[in-house]
Amino acid sequence: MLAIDLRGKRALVAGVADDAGYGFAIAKALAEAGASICLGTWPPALGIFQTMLERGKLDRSLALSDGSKLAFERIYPFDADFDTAADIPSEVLDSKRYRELGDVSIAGLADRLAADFGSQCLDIVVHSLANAPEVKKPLLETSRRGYLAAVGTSAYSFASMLGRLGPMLRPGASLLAISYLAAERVVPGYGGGMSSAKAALESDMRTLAFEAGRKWGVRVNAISAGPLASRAANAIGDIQKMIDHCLAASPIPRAVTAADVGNAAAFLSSPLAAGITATILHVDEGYHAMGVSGTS
Amino acid sequence: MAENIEEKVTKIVAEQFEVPVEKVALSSLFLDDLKADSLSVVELVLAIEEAFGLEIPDEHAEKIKTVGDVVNYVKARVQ
Repeated sequence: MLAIDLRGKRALVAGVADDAGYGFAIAKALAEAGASICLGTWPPALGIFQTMLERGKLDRSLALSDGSKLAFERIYPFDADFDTAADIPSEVLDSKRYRELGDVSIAGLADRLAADFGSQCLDIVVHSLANAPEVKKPLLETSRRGYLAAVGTSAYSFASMLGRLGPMLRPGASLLAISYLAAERVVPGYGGGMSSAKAALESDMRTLAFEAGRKWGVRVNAISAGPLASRAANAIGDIQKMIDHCLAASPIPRAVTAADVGNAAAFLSSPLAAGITATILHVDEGYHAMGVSGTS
Repeated sequence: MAENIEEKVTKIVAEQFEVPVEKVALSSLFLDDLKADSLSVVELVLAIEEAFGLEIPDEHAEKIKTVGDVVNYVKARVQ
């Protein structure tokens, strides 16, 4: 039987702080396939996430199909805005949500992983994070600062992570970024430079697939996921309207689930996808292919 | 007991939002008056759960916007 087997592999999923988003679903699918899972969690949300885990509030979501409960190998405080400790401003370092966490930068994450598991310890890296301070503003009204913040946090962070984690990847490793259709089509409401950031992310994914493929022999891909009412997406605004629209217009009129994206991510991260790199896989019920709404 | 709940909630709110106790009134709106962000409000709800041994479902938590809302909620659930 052909099966996705990730036993003995270690995954780092960056951008998980609750059980509602794609990052969590991907972590869970990778765990279902046997991988051990480390998370990178945005420091401001880390305390809440840990408290919810400790109090058993996420137990239902953590239940695996074999009856066991998903246990994360490590949960690292991680802020993809900063490449090295020196980049973290002192007011951030001194703030209540950062002050006891040490080096939460991308380089800091690489150091923590190396200290915990050795210098070659990763098989799968998933980038499932984004932020745009002005996401509610249309691009026409977005400031340069807001635009660059969106691209820095949501796109450059992938290149920076790959550069710093690349030497720690084991042969056959897979990297994956989570993108969205707004990179290639117009999605009103996905503002503040987030559409620009996703376009950069998808282009970078291809360039990095070449560079990292030649340098370390690893694969780099992206999933363009349909809309999901995660906590982060609720910040964008009318996510339910986007979901309803996709539902009415897609070849398969069914809302994309987080598990659909998780399963696709597990496939792309597995040896079954050994021939796939520099590719964007749409997990959106085919919505991306439509030119005219399929409303019947 | 009622008075204690109010004092206890006020103290927790002041601690969570890092504001002086004197600034915390029953009518204080978390986001507008106490300058809290949405994550702080989630943290507050978790702290209230722990302090009073309650479980506050998300659909209830969403409706809690002021210090008075917390006090009334805790009173209704504890008594």
